[in-house]
Amino acid sequence: MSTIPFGTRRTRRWLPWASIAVPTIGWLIFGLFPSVSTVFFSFTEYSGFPGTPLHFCGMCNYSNAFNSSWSDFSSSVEVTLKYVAGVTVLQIAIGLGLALLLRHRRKGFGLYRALIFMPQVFSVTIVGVLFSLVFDPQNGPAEPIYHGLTGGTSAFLGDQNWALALVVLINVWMFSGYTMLVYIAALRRIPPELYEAASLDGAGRFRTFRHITWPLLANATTVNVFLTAMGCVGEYALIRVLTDGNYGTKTLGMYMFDTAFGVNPSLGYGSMLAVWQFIITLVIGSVLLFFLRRREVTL
Amino acid sequence: MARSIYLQSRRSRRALAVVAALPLAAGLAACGSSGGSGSGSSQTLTIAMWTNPAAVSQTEKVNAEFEKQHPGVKVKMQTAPTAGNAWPTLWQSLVSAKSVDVLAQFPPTPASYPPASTGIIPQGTPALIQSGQFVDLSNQPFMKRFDPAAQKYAMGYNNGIYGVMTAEYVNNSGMFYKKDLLAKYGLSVPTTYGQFISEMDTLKAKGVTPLYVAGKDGYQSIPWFGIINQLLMQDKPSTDAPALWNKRAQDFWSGAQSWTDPVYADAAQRYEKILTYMEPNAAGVPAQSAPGVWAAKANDFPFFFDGSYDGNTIAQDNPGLNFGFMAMPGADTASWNRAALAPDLSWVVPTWSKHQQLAMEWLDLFTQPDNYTAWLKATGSISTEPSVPTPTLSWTDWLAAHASQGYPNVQPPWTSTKFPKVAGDIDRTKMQPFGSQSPASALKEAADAYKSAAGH
Repeated sequence: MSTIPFGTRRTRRWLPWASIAVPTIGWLIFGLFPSVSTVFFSFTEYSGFPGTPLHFCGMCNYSNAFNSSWSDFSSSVEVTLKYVAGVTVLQIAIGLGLALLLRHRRKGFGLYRALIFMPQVFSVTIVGVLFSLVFDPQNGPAEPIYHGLTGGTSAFLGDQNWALALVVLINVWMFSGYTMLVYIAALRRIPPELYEAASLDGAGRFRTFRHITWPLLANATTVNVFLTAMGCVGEYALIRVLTDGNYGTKTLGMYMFDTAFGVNPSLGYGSMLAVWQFIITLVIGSVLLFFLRRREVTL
Repeated sequence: MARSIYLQSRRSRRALAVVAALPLAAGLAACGSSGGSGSGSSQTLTIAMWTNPAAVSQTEKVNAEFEKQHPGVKVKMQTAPTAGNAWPTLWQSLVSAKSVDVLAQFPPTPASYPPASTGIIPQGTPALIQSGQFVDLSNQPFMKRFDPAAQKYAMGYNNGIYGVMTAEYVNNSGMFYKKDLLAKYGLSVPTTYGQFISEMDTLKAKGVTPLYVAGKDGYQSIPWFGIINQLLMQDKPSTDAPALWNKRAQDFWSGAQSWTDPVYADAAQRYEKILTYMEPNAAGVPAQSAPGVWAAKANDFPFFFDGSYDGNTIAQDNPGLNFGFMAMPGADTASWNRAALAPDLSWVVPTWSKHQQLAMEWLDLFTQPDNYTAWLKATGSISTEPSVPTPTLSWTDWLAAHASQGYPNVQPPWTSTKFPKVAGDIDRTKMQPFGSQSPASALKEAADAYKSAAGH
């Protein structure tokens, strides 16, 4: 008799199908169905409440976004792209810098790594409220420091020139620990012999980094850049708590949420924005993967 | 071996089926007991409202009284703050899940129902009312306690009234002032725009920052709409307001009125001038902490733009502060500077509510004069029941004397998702003094956006 890993022959016939069926049904209900519904609703002027009429209008929402409502749509896309670029570049740079500083197994480094990673586990709301208090121009600690350094004052999160930059920095503060950990894992996989050889060849720190460390971190950079950028395209929660989308911080995610689920919700138009958010995510993700993968091969 | 495995498997499957069925059965039983409408011994009436601590606390007292009068009935309150989109999210989830019996509502007012000829399809609350999802309350006995015209304006549609408006505040045009601080500098309560500016000049010269506003959360809309209300209404009778706002919406739609009209240019100029006296970093001041900060700083910020709904919060934060509330003086004639009234908390009963009768009984209890008086006192709201006077609180002296001269707040022009946001209302975070855009440029942008979207 042949070995049966589990169950009878009959069980073996249906169990794999049953095992696949559970996640498939879950995906159909919670993944595919909402996605297809979103695309469908984007062709309607549906308010989003059961029992209210659908008002099918074809491409009206798409047409409005590119005509009369172009200013709102284009500005939210512009803010999103600035946000994604700002967070990705800074987070990669800071994460890499921290990884280079804290990669070694030395006394106390574990604590520093834990402290830097800690904001990642905080709720976005807690972080948002915390920084709202920090940047409160009346009672927050940031104002006297800023005044001491520059002699001026600022409304910080209520300042058109500062608000987006501050939201970017807060996001970087929150998640650069994760980027650091990915880089540390990659740094520890680089064979030490390579550094020894470079040292024997008289390479300085910069040349060693430029020609050994950086190329061998290509895989980790791909992961970090891709995850950071994709995580930022739909950013909504942190901005909601910090600025509510005011003062030049309304990303496409905020615009979509406000439209679909705000005070006077319009699920139809919001769905159209969600479709665009998906397309932008797809384009940014594809472009990044294409170049990062090509870079991995080249290096 | 195989046989034994098979039997074991069958036994296991039976056991598994029983174990799986238990929570399901328990769940169904639980559904039966909590959702049973009418026949069971236990019923749950679900009420949802946005978080206004004083209002929630007082409503909970009504709930306790209701439970006492209705043995076996439990009142479940669900609340969420209006900040951070929390309330709209809760509201939507309750309506979508059809799991609420009495629901608080910001009244849509007639501006939310543009004529069909505009092609604008109402969204949100008006869409729910149009599709018959809220009960017409016009024939309910408790509605006799209210002014039918005010109720119709707030929650009316066609011939029905789909909610009961129980609160009204002065939001746009609302201004708190510190009586002792004005007296200290020999100033009286300003009644005209000129006097207001002159007093702020005096205060500034004495080293006092005259104005405070929660600019981070957009409360600069209070002086903006306050001035627009006062300039548009001028000395017309307050009863003219609904018709005037309707005509304004029609005129915007037809192109007969535009954001670049002289009245809006005048309003923008006054708005910009007034806000030059504000705390320099007011753009970063959040609404949540603003009343407390203003109350604590007894020797600074004599004026504070905020709605009357924060009066009791200020009084609690600094019980010793001698302050008052008034309509800001945005126009040159004192009699024009009346308060714009904002219809506020209105209760609706969904047609799919499983406890409609209980919901009506709860509304009856809530609106009974004794309960309503206590509720008004706790919240600082203006009374909407003619037989119940607006209670006199330490800060409501001006309001008690002048609220009756107020009129419903200006309504926005008809817009839809087709219209960019700026078409219906200029972006004050971009306009000076909060942003860099000049008032003329902001008004032109708004006018062009409206004309383009309306197809002029």
